[in-house]
Amino acid sequence: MKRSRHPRTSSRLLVVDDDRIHRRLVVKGLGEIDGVEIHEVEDGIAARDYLAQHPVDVVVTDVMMPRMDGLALIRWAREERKRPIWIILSGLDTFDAAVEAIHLGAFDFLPKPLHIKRLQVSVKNALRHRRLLAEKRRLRRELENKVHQLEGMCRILEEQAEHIRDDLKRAEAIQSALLPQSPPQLPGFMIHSLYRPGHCIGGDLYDVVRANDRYVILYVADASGHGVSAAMLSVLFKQRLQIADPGTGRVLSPGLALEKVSGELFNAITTPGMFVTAAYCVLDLREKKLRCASAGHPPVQVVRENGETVSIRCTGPALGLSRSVSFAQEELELQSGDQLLLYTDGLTDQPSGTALKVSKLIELLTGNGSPGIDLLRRLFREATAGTGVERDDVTMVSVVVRSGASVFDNQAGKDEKKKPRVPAPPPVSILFAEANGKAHISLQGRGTYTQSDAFFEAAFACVDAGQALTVDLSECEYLDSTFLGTLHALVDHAEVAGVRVTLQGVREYVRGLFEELKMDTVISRIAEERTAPPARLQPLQPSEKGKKPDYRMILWAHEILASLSEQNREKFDFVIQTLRRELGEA
Amino acid sequence: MVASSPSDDKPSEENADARPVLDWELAKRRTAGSEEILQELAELFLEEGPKLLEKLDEAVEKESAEEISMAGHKLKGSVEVFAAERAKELALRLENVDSESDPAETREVLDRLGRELSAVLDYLRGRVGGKEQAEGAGP
Repeated sequence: MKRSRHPRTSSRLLVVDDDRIHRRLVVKGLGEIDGVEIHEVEDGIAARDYLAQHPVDVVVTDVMMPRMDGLALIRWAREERKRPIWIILSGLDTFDAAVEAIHLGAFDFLPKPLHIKRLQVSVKNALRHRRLLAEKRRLRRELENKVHQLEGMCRILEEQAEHIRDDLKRAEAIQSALLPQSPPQLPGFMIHSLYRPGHCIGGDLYDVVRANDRYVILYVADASGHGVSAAMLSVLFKQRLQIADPGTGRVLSPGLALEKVSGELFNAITTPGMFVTAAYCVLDLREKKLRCASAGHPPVQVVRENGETVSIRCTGPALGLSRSVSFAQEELELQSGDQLLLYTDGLTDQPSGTALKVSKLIELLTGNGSPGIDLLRRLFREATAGTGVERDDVTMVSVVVRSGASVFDNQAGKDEKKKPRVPAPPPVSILFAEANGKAHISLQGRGTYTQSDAFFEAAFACVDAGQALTVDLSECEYLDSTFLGTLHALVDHAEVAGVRVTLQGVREYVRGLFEELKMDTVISRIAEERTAPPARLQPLQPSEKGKKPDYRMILWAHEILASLSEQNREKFDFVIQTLRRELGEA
Repeated sequence: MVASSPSDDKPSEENADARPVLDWELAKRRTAGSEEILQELAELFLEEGPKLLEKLDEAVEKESAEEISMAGHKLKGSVEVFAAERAKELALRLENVDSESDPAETREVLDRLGRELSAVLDYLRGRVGGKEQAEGAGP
């Protein structure tokens, strides 16, 4: 009854046939396959007893046998022994039974009289199928483990990010303590400031210090970079800056003060790319004179009451770049009504949004009737309109030669910063409606693999039902390759089925994607005119699979795209190979 | 090579059938060209064939349609392996026997199958013996 050809590592095959001749033929044929162990029994009952005791990979069984026939055996195994793969041997007289066996999940059926080559191919396929299933299960487990690990890591990172955010908030509080808290009251002068760091903390710094009865020091500085490193650099600048000679107590001229601090920073900073720009002024209250030096900083703007404007430009390089530098200085006789504005480049040079042009800045300064703190706030609004989370620091200090109250605004834009972080772009919404035997699908937002199966199911169902379908992309800003492949398959499928699929409202960017991927059939379905969507569009629920990506679908979509051009084939080759490996396909 | 009897009821039909008793080459194609496997199967059938026929004979004697059908099916499967077409057709007629069938006719088919089967067995004996001869006559 038992022929053991190989040790236990081999695959175990069971042959069930009451006809000894035929059974021998099967066993002989199977014996030529490498790595198999073959057992034979003569009817369903014997097979059932064997299967109950031993793990079997593939069963090759006859249909018509005494005591228990092949179908009864498969039905029993479906409940009790799910492991084996079934191959049915059948003559024409039992063809119906063979069909039923396939319905019951049999892998293959082979006609009698048997041809052993066909038997060998079928059994080898079955064994490969088994291995692939096992491999797939293993990969799935591995993937689930990895996802689990990644989720754990994400949680840790989120916790760490939360710690860092808390730290940054504390740092912000410390940094704002470094700023002057209240303006000195100077007869005949108003001094205003406005300070808005871009992140929690930033590299801008300013100060207004009354050195003695005669002199007031004002400066605005901007440390290179952003965030913590820039903030620490600005602290270093403040710590090293001397406004007066420590020996004599004499107030240093702007040029000399910058020269000294530049040397100090050069010695302290060993990392390249770190420097500070600054505009530094000494206001002589007695003589009503201003002396100013600028280290690589945006110009100090002066607007006189008669409309005349003066820009005091750089008088030397940024601080910390070289050991010994000297700064020229400019002197200005102040007149009643003069306005001076010191500012950092955040005012005129935002990375995004509508930065304020210098000419516009001067226009605003000139045209304003009351050069108070409101003017600085207005300048800030103008400069930062349209900027997002990436806004650069903005700092302004203004001096107005006129009596009045001075205001320092270091509020760091509390309201503005309560804005939630920019939310992730919403995924695509798929809206669906049927009217007058026609179907309409609107895609809104970004279409990615996570919703392509919901789209696939809805759209293919329409085509299969012979319904003309309009796909509206006017609200769709992006489609990923899985979605694009699915769309192409849909159009092809509709073409074959003779059903009309029309695309409308295709945006330039999306059309560009079609063109880049040579999706000519899809492009040919784009309608120039857009018809209004039906009134009642219902959102389609993502399929239950929605949460987990359907790799088979992703693979399928990429294979479709790859078939469109050689370029696509190269482009998606890596994805396709990787997915095939993951899915255990050859 | 075909065993026929002039006393048969339908001599003309049997005599008119010019097909060989079996098609060894066709059978060999199904064993992927292996003479060795086919000879092994032939040896097995030399043992098994007479037993199957005996079982059929008993079933016909008992006039048990179910047993006749089962045994006919099994014999059909075996002779099919050797592409013995006529034997297969006769076995199929027995497989199709039911309670309505005429026992006399069933007996007659069985007799014809018996003669056909002995021709098949003769042929196979020749093949198996041929192998022995061939091996004996080898260089």
